[in-house]
Amino acid sequence: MKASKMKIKDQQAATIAGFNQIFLDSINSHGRIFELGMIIRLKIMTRKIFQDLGLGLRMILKGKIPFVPQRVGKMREVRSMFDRIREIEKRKT
Amino acid sequence: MRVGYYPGCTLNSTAEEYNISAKKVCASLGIELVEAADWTCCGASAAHADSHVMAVALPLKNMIAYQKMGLDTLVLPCAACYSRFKIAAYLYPNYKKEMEEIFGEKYEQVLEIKSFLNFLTQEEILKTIRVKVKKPLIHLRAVAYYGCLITRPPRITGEEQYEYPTFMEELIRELGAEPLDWSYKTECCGMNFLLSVPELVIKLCGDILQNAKDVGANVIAVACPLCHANLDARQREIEKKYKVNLDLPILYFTQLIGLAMGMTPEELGLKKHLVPLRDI
Repeated sequence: MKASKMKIKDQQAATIAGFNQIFLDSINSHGRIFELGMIIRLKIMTRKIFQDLGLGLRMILKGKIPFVPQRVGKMREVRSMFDRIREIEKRKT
Repeated sequence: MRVGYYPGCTLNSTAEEYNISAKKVCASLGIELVEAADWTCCGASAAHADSHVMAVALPLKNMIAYQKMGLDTLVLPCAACYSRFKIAAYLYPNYKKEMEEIFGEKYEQVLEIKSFLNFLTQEEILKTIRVKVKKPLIHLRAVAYYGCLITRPPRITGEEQYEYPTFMEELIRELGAEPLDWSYKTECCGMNFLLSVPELVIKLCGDILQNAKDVGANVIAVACPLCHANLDARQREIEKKYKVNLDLPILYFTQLIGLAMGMTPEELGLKKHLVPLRDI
């Protein structure tokens, strides 16, 4: 594979992995995903601030992207679940 | 009839109209959808890319909550959530010890987990829908798009016709629309790469939309919020990139049922779509 092509693939893999982490962080913080927060973090990570700006605005105008996270009760349970998962994963390695 | 209903995160945001239409249709059919108060995200594709324990734990947390509500059936409108729940139930015996350590309780595996599409197309409910059709959708030529996860992998879903399913077409026919044969009904739309690798979604959805157009469809019926987002939101870009005119509205199958039952486009949230439905 050409070096330039490999660079694009590496970049894509890093973006996908970064997006997955942003996704999981969102669950850990809110219990559910918060799209707007995730999009902002992804934009900062990829430095592609203006990509999809028009599409994002159209979706906001259609009421598809809420400005505040969904509220979930018992967030302590969610965080303790994440902690226990990490403990188990740590023991396995 | 009373069933558990897990909407999933996107049905409260990008796919609110799927949630609205699902609830309206079920109310009209006499089906009570029971939602657990504090359900949490299933992890979608991010959890299993990170940790197998997490991929089982996130859906299982919700399955335990629905089990405690004394329900025997759980329906899921999102194909990704449905897949994660089915896989968690399938893998649970292998992760019993870890799950008991995380949650301090057992999952009894009493819940029957169904996709919302499978649930509403079962014979008994289809009969009720048939009776309720007031405005047959005679102007619509529809292709049914199942995507990857409603029928596959078959060892998890139990679907026999996993490459060429036809149960959504049967529903479309009952609603008075014409279901069309096509080649892309179980192809991938790119799922959550909508944000991280949009060029991949544009290629995959471009092929899907073009095939739908080629067979003469004027609407695509879907049963997944991610498929909808990719096919609807990226359509204008796809038209620009490939220099084609598609103009194909993407409707949730619940919106099609609602329209055929005589509900208005406004009631069913059709105005939330980026590609409008003109031929009602």
